[in-house]
Amino acid sequence: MRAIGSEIKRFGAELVLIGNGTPEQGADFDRKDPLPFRLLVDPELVGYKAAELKRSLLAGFRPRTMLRFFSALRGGYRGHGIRGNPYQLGGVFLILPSGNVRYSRVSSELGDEPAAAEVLTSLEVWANGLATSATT
Amino acid sequence: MNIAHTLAPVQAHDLEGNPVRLGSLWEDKPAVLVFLRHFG
Repeated sequence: MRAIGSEIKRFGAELVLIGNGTPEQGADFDRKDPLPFRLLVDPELVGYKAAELKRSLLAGFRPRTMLRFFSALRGGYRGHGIRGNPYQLGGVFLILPSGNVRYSRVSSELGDEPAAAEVLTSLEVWANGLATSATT
Repeated sequence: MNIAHTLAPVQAHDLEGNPVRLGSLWEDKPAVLVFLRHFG
């Protein structure tokens, strides 16, 4: 996440994380491993609902999800406890100042996250489009 | 209506509890919004 944050800044964009816990939970999360980008919270899930992000009781129990979890454990992942709604799934959006949504990915299950390269490619295409229009 | 129009008026909060209108995040520059599953 840190590496993509630097790349996103290089394109003149900002990376903002939005969690579904309280401000106190967010501050505790940030304190344990301070982030070099903005962290907001949406404890009422208003943004999550507006973005039509999914919630699923069963999302953690699908075989593919369990495999991803064990793979993450083998890779050294050690969670710090769950704070916020554990059934709320996430999503990623790249939004331009024009209001144009250049990238959108809504998670359908746990561990279903976009590759950073997808987001960066969208940013790069946008930035190249700006550079092209500036020279014409 | 695209998702940006729907999200723009939504109020999230910073870590001090101050409201932040999501639309302000992309007013001047592109924003990559990552809605997390949960903290932890």
